[in-house]
Amino acid sequence: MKKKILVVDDEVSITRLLKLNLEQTGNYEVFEVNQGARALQMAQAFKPDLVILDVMMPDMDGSEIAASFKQDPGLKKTPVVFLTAAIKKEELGGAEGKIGGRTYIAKPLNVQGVISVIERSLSQ
Amino acid sequence: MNDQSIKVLLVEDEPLASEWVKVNLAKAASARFQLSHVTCLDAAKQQLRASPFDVVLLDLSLPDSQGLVTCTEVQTVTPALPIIILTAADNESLALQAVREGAQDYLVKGEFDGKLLARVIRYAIERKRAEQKLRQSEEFFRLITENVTDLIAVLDQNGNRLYNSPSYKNSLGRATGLEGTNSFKEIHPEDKERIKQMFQETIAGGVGHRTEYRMLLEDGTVRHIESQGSVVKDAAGKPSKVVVVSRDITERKEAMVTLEQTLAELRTAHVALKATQMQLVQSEKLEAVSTFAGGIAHEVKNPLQTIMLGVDFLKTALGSTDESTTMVLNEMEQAAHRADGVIKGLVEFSAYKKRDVRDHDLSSILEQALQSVENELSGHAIKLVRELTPGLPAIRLDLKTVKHVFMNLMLSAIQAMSSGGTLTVKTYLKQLADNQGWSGRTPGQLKSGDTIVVAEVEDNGRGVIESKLADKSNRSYATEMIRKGVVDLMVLKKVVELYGGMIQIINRDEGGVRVVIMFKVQRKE
Repeated sequence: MKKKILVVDDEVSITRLLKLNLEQTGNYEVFEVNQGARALQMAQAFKPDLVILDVMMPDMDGSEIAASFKQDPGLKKTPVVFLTAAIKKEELGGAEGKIGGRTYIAKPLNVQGVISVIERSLSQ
Repeated sequence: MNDQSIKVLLVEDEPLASEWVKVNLAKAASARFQLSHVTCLDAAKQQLRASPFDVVLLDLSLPDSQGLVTCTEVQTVTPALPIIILTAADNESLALQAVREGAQDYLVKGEFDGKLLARVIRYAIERKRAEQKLRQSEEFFRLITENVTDLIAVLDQNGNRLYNSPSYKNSLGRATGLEGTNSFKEIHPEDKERIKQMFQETIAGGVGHRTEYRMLLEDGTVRHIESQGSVVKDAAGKPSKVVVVSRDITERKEAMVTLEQTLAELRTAHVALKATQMQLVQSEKLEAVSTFAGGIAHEVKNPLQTIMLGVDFLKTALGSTDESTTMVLNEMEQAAHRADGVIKGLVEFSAYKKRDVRDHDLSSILEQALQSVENELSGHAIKLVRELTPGLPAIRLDLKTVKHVFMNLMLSAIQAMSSGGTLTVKTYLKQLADNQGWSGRTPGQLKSGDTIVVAEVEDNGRGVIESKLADKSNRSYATEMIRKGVVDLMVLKKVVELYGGMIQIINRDEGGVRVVIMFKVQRKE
């Protein structure tokens, strides 16, 4: 069965291309959200297996959204992967890494990198 | 004088002598005389005070006054009035004494006629007038010489002082007792010979000179003096004396020195100010450029991300449909990565907003950069070779940005040696020879003959660097891995160029890469 991925980023072109890329593998069903404020509502409706969350968005930052997920019984166990441009690959020790218990993917994203992080997070 | 009558006061108590004068004056035809007659000193004084006279005929033996004192009493009342003494034949010596004391002449009673009397009177008046003029003129010049601050001296042919003005007190500490002393005595030993020679030339040639020299006073102080000599010739026209007018110009000299010092200080301050201003302008420019570049870079990030994800998608979607498509997609991917490197560099370097451009030691910057990458070094089992030359000339740059450049180069080298290797960092001073390996490229501000400080970061890791900055190499780009820098090299190049530096990449024939950064040593102003 396809894994359901929710992608939250204010850049439409990025969420769309991530969706196209991930769905092209045939393993995922991707739902996009471009407004941080709508992320929780969408997540409650969509019930994703994993959320990809941009750290920096104009209306709301990724941490707030993640905190709201923790309050929701249906979402509090859902793994969250953060996208960041602020942290460099070198600081993450590669294209992705964990800082303070969170999983980060450094921008610019490459599809193979994103897929491997998704897979690792889902298997945990 | 012929037109006017001469007013004569006769002071004589002897009737006979008085009569002799009256008769003879009347006989004198050459001038008209207006005679007043008194018989005692007291009356004479009263007359003299009451009305002006041209001459006094004075008998020294009067009922109320006898001897020389009679003459001096009259002089006291009318100092400018010529006095002719009337004396008895047996007392000529007293008359002579009176003449020495200031009387104009004397006549022996009964031994003169009208002609002689008239002549003596007129000569006495003339002589007194001339004397008066001379005295005035003497007084005038005395006033001048005594009041000038200039030093005036009259010297004989040997340079001994015959006269010196009172103003010598100001320079030599005394004005009296200098007569007869040698004027070369106080001249500074280093100037003495020159001044002596000049003095001799003045005497020999009869032409005065102007010169400057120093005086060394007894208490050890040195005064600067400017002197003008003028030759005084004797009756035969031979130079006999030299008048030297000197001026103490010590204060002027000192003021000049102070002025020159002040001027020099001002110049230095001006240069420093200019440099600071330039630095400030440069810093502000850099800051503005940084802010701008950083802002733009952020804006470019997302479109670039879109392109990268798009390429990823197409690569999978199109698969290996045909070779050209794959090639195009690979080219696009690489171009996007390069653009990303540039963006990263801009963002990173724009983080250093406040640039502080000042003198820095390149060796110490490399040392600091090494400390920052210490963890990466030890994590990859890399041997470090340090060849940092101490005491290199300072280079003007911003420490943080340039340190960041070296950190980037070191990290890139470390990445290329993930399975171990040797990192060599070097600094040294060198004189640039002709076309030091950058033929075909613009050598920027560096030219042959320049003294440069060089920093090298060298590794023996895998891969080549493909860059316009890289030297031609025997190594094939086609067969070897192409290194991706942490930050695009072009950004590093621009940063280095901000501080007048140059960057050069060498793909070493024996493997690995050497990056050379050169900074010109600025000559100190």
